[in-house]
Amino acid sequence: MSSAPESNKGSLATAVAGSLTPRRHLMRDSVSLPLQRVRAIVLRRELLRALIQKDFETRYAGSVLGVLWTQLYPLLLLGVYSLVFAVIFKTAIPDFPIFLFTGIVLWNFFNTAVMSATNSVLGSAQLITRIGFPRELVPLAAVLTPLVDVALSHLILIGAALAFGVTPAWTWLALPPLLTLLVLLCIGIGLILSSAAVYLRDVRFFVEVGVLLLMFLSPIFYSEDAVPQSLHWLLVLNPLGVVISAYRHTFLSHVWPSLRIWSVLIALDALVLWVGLNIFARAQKGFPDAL
Amino acid sequence: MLSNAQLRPAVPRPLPVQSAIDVRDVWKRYRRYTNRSHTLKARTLGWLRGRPDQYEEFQALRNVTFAISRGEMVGIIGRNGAGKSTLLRVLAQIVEPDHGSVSVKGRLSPLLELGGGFSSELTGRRNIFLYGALLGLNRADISARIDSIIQFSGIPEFIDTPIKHYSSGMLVRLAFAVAAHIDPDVLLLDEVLTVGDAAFQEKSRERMQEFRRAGCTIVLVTHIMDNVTRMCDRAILIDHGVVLDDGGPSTVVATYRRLIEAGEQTGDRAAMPLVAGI
Repeated sequence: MSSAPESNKGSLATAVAGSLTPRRHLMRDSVSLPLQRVRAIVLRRELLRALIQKDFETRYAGSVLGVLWTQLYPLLLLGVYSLVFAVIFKTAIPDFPIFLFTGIVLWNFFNTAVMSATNSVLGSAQLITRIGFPRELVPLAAVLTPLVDVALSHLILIGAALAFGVTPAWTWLALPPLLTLLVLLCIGIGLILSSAAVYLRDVRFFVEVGVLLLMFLSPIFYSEDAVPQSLHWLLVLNPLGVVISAYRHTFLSHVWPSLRIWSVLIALDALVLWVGLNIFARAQKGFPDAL
Repeated sequence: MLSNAQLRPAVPRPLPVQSAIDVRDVWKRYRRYTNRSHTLKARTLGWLRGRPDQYEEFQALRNVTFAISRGEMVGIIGRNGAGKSTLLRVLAQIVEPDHGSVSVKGRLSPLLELGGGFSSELTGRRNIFLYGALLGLNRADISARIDSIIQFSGIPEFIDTPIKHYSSGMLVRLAFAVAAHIDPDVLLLDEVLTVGDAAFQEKSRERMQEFRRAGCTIVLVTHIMDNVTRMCDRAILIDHGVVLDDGGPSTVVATYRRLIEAGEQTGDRAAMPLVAGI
């Protein structure tokens, strides 16, 4: 049998383009395809729930502390960073631990969600090559599972905020939609990275480094006011940073996020989700061969 | 070798309307990679040296068209590597065809590769819920059937043990027990997976008869010709990805036997046109 070098410059590209899809249909498909996939996902929401439950149970199966581990990690980070920045660097930010913890909770979610989504399709090869179902559910479950940790962290966060004298306010109503926008962003990123990781196994190493860099490029240890004007574009380019600073302002200073923040985040989410659904829908046709 | 143009009919055959399974002009090609780069470094180096991934292309299904009516039991037969399993995987919506359309109406129970959805850290009971959800049941449906599933599996004493401690036979029985309880409209069966001891097999056979009486459509891939002639209403013979014969079980089985004889005399590939020309 022959090999086909001309059609083989990169099998990701060929798998994505689909072997029999004429180019002129690509634009029209790129609108109808994501809608079809979303419909298929919604129809199997019962399976999504089961997959989330499985992810959650398998994560802590056999560990004594179970769910406590998820809280131990951000709390340890909080302890170390508080020591470094409040005691050693003597930061001027008031109520620094609570300021810091808000950022850590969101970054920790982003980290877990994106990392586990990236590995999710590779890790579910058995499932994907043997049972037919919308494969988007696998990275989707990987992103949604760590939301349980976020909910638990919020118990700590809100308790600590009240102890530090932050009063609850109606602006807190903006927190769930902000968090939703972060989750949708992670889903879009997860769809892209999980399908890419099937064809390029080292994607996860890049993701690891990328997420770590984002930690320092996001206003977690510092306030965005401390960033020099000349570097402000860096903050605007980083959606995680935008969410974190908006979240913290809303939570601690009772500032309702501006229309500009909402529109930037919604536009960005829509774009990333659209790209993610398109890439995944095309890449998943090659999963049974590639896994 | 057969070219694609020769096999593609100019006008699609008309198909019955009341079909449970409708397969039209399905083509599926596989790639077998002999050396595939999975890292960016290997990929880039391969590209720089002008040595991209090597693979063989393998046309598993060509122009497969048939319809199966509701309640029909159809046996799919053919030699090893003929495309039977690929066809079942296409019907089960595990792989998408490159071309053509597949429509399966109603709830599908694929009994192809059992236990693919199991999670080894979880108990048998938790896996029943997970596997049931994968096969399309909701939580209430599974709760209502859980006792019956556990009883059918025949391993009630281990049901709350993590399945990593199960034997392979126990795993398959558990998977089969779930699959047998989802009240499918369409059942896809790969007989390679006929499992368990004589008693369990008898139980499975009874269950299949119940499905038939309930009007379930069954597609069976098998190498046992007796099962085709005794149980099926119809048989489809596949060779090199092409439907060679489709009709009454005894006629199609006879064609299959001629194909095997011709294959022994003239070599594998040459046999197909000989028999198809009859």
